[in-house]
Amino acid sequence: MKKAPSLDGPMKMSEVVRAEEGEVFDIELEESLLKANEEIAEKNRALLARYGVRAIDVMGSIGSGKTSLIEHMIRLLKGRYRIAYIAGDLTTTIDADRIAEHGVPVVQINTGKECHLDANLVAKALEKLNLAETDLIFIENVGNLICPAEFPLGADARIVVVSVTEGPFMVVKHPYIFMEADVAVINKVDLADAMGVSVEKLERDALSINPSIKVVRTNCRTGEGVEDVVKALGL
Amino acid sequence: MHELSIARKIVMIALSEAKKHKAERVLQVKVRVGELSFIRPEQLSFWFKILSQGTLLEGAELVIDIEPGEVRCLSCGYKGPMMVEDDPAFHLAVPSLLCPSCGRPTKITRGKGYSIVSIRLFKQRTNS
Repeated sequence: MKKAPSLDGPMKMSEVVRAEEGEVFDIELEESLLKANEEIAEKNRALLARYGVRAIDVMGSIGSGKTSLIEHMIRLLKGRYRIAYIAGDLTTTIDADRIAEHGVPVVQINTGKECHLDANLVAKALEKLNLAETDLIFIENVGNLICPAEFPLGADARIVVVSVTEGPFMVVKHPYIFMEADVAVINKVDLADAMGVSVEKLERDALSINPSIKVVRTNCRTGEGVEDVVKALGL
Repeated sequence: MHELSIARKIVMIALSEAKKHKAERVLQVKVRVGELSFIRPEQLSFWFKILSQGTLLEGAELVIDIEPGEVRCLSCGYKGPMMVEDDPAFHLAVPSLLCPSCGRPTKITRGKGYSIVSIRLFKQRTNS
């Protein structure tokens, strides 16, 4: 490596000329590139707290059973809470239409091409709900085990749903989303034998990544285990 | 994961700072990327280079400082790197929130975000 010219030593003419022609200076910024989302998530959290609304961010892989789980939770909790639902999908209102049949207010967010919900999209959806008449909101994230982990929405709790039909490595391949979640749901346990997938192993994987996570096994076709999810959420 | 959109944000911030300070060129942009974030330095550099072309940032150096991940144990007070279970069967290292020291739960205290730290500008000296 070349040694930088000493300030005390003789200066080269060219350097002096360059210094006169222009200057180089540093601007210190220290600006978080996730700040925009974090700030809006905080606003969402404060807004929900003001109305005493609890919000649950339901994340998970595509086809793992997020919507079915939410349908069962709505059936169990409808008598005790005034529930609303926010659906995030790239396109279609299929999930929103399914949930609307349960007679709860529904807002569909079509992200178009985005792979996750962000706090700003949720803030817009919250504007469409009557929060004064709401106790509990289920926010169904876009089916994806990667991106949603890095974008908190301002929810009180986060669930991650996987199912045995996705194979035995869904948990270890996506450790970060399990670190961010409070509850892990392993769905379709009735199909575990047919799939040759060990539910115990999936559970162990989740707990070894995040020892604080509550793991619940469900069969969301029948509703088996959903009461335990409700309990794990403290609802 | 979202390197393109993050690179775009970095370029926009740098360009707006350059404009604010009436600089002719941006020589260097320094960012800090958390080890536990979803940003990969190689892809970030790639997109930065592409997006810089034809702007005041063309040829600017993107310096990426990696902020190491750090967890803190809620029970024994351990503070340091996260435990990683290295399982050759998966060709993958699986990180864990278990305390490497006592095996109880830890919390991530550092290394999750990414920030733009500083921008080095070049400005003609005006002799007015």
